[in-house]
Amino acid sequence: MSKLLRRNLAYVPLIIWAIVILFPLYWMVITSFKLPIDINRGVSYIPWVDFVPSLHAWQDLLQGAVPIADPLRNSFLAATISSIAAVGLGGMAGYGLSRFQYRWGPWRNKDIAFWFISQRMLPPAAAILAFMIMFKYLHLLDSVAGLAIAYTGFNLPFAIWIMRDFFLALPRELEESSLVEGASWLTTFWRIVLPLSVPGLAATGILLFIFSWNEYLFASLLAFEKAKTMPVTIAGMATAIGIRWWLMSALAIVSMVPTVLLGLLLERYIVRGLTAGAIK
Amino acid sequence: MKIRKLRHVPAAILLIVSLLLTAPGSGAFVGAQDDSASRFEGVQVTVAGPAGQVECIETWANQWEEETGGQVNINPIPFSDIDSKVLAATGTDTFLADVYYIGSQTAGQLMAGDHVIEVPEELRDRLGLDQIPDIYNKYQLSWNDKLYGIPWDGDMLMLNYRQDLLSDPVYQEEFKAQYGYDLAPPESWQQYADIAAFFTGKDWDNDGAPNYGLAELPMRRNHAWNGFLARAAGYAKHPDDPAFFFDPETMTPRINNPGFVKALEDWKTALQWGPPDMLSFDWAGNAQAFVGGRAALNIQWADIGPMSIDPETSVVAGKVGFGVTPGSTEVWNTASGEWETFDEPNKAPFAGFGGWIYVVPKLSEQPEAAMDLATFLGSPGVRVEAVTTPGCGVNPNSTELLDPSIWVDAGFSEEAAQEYTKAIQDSLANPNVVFDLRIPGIPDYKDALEIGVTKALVGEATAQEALDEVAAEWEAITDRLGRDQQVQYYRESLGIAAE
Amino acid sequence: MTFVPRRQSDVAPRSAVSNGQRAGTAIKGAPAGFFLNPAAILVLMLSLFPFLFSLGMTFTNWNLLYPGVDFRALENWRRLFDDETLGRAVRNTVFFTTAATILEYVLGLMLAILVLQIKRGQRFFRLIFLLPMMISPAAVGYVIGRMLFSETQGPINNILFRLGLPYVPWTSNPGVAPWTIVVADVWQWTSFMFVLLLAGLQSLPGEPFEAARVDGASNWQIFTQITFPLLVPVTVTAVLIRSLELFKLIDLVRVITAGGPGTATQTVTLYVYDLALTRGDMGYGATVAYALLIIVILYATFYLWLTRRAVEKVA
Repeated sequence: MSKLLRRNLAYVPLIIWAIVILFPLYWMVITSFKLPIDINRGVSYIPWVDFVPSLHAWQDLLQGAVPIADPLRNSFLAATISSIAAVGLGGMAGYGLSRFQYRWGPWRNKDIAFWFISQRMLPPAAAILAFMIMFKYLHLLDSVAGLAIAYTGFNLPFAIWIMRDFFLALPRELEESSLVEGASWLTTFWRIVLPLSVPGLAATGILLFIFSWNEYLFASLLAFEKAKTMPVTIAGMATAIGIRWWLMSALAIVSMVPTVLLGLLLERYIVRGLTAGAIK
Repeated sequence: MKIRKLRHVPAAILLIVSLLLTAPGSGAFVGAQDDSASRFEGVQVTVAGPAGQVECIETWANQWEEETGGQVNINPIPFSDIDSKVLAATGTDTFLADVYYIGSQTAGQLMAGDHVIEVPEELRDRLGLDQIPDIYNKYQLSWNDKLYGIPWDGDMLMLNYRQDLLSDPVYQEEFKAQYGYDLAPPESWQQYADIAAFFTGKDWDNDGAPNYGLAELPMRRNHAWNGFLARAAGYAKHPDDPAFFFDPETMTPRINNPGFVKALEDWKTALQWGPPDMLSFDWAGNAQAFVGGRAALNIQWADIGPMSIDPETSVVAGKVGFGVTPGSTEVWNTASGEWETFDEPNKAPFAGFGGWIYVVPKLSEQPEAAMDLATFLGSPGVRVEAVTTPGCGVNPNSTELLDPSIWVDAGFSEEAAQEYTKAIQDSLANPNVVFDLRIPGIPDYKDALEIGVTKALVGEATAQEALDEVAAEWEAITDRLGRDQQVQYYRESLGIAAE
Repeated sequence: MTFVPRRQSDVAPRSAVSNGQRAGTAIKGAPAGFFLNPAAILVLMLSLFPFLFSLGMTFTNWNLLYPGVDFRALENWRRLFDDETLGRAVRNTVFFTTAATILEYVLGLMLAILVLQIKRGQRFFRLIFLLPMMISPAAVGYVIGRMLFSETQGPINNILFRLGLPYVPWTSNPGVAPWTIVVADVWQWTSFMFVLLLAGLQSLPGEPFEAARVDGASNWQIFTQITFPLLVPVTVTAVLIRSLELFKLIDLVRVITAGGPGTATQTVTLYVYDLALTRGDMGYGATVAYALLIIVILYATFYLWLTRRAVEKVA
């Protein structure tokens, strides 16, 4: 097979998967423009041909019939704070685990790392009650601060594992030469390591942001009113008397916007950032 | 790279500042403008309820606010999370809301566990309790003769059918020729199955797609419990016996007796006349199948009535008839241990789910104001508006609400209004009516039954096997919770004196 | 023709998995604690109480609705063995985890490799393939899981029907329903594998590939003998993280099938949620959760031990 043909053959599966992804998204978009009776009547695909599009769902959102400003703000604050904190603390811990030998009793670095990731193994439903009690006494219930703290805790294991991988692949020569020249560890970290790791930190940050932004269980039980987040608002569209598909789709689309924007912004970092090759 | 980052700083600051300005607390500056000296000036009452329904109360909440100077804060919670939130709050002594707008099964459990406040005597007059049928008074709102719940919604499963199809002369002729009797709204489950079979495959709306005989509720965690029991009641609820689910002396489950087993077998046969994906029908899927014109018969709550005349969702306005759920001519008599044949089908309307009500939890921070608001909402004046507002999900629960003229005003035709109110009245007044199970452990019992029933429906077990499993599981649940206590609760819930 | 790749051990990205021991030398004056301790303390504070509290719950019969908590020793633990629903849930969970992880990995890898091969539109595809991961799971569950796959009301069966293909009972058939869940999960989370593997591929050094071509290796040989082995470290981490999350699958199942029909799609975490928060049975609910924890810890330990060899072979 000629090279030209082979090169272009690669497009086929890519385009197929792109359609697989885009069709449901397209469906979500047109659903947000459908009237309830359109949904009841059956399947319709093309606006103006199969059904008459209506702005009623979007109007409801913009006019405040469905509260959206508060959940957006709450989600945004909780996700941003927790991902920055997790990246910061996690990055440091990941760096430590990649450079130093720790000893916690019988545990070495790999055991410590395992302990961190084991935090992700217990089904959250079991721990949620304990969290409620803890937060009740700390007066953190139904608060963005409480959510942010909880999410930071959840995200740390990921941050630590990914950043540790990243730092391990980072050659030590730069730091060593800096230390040889008399700089302290902290200065070295601040001046040399950190700038080089911004891509990795950014990439981890956006993954964690997405995880926090879309988290459901803790948001639903720890933040039930004032600190309500977007996922809970979206789920609220599934009512006992019927799922309001049009509103749910519109809300889901709005909910995607911040993450997509963030993704666009940091996209080049995501790809480059998780590798050591960037350093060379 | 540093320069690039700095450029984003002002934007970030702007963003953060604007977010903080919209933070809660800023709303306090825009407080209640009402100055009239009133009972609950400045008091805030939070109402938590199902998203999509609780927002309905805003109009009446505003009225209350004007009268009393208080402030109502509505907190919509996703419907699938309400029970878990209420449970979690109760279990951890955390404040969730001052008033809970919840289902009567959950409410029943709160009542049994003594987590809610009794309605004070002086406020009871507001509620129009004399108009509320016994079945709701006793079973929905009270526990052990104490009134805890504030009336709002009354649930009863009923038969909805396509009036136009059943009275069409062409179909009537065909049906008589095929089955040998007149086509009419079914009185027995056998007739129901015949009619459903007859209509399946016909395309009465001429859209090219075949239509179906019936639409029911067989989905696990989405009313399989109600769908099954609405049918089984006819087979297993003997008019002489007050108990239905358990033996009232030993708590032995009756769920695997021949009555229930036959009901399940018949149900499985009948369900083939419905849309192929009925097993994943949630409440809305079922409703849509009917008001979207695809099914001829339907077993559902009374919501179908208002829904059917709503031009936004229905294509069958004016074509719907209403009746009491069919009964069975073969009834199992537990006392005698034999089948009995009835001349008239034994109807046992099932008040599944029980209805949404208000309760004030002991964890409320403003119990007085909360009780005041709740009893205001539960007054007949408010309820009559609620029940005719589509989208509120409130079904009539008292006699004055079953006055046909209300429904004519809401848009029903004379006949439809008469039929609708009569069907509900008849169901409520039927001495053989069955109220949904309300004792502690109901989620466990419910899930066990739904698992068993759906297994039988997909053929993973025979009806007898499935229900035997359910019975065994029910026994285990009862033992876990304490058999003596469960016996007591069951008897209390039935209103039978303890022995 | 046999083909032996040249060794590139110094250049391959090392993974944390194999490097636990080789991490740095203890340097005097290094504020090692400063780096690790803040994270460790935060995680400890947030996890210690819940861990002990929930563990304690497994020995009681605490129910959220009924007063009185009694010590019940190992009764809850014994109940695990008779529980048929739990057995089914474990089998289902293992199925979901295995099927979804494998599919997501293979698809993600394929997409990553292909994306790097095309000349134009790389950025376009990279962005599109990221999108599913960014949607709220509730939305994916309802709009995509339920609506799209709705058997009589959804577009998928409608399209199949128009193409003359048979009707698929996506959610009402106990044999098909689990696959529907897998499909929904793969749709959403292949992005995750794609991102990590793309990064991994891009970090691979060019030399081994050039050398292999010079030596006349075929594409398949290059893939199996160079590309894949070099990707092992990334693979190990990606598969571990995704499989750990899949063991806790609940959101999609809860929304699309609610664990049914019957118990065909019941997962362990859904069971825990039901027990603890719908039935209020915290004691047994916590026990099931800890049972899952034990299974997962065993799995992870075994997995890491197994892959340690593979990773070390690469270095």
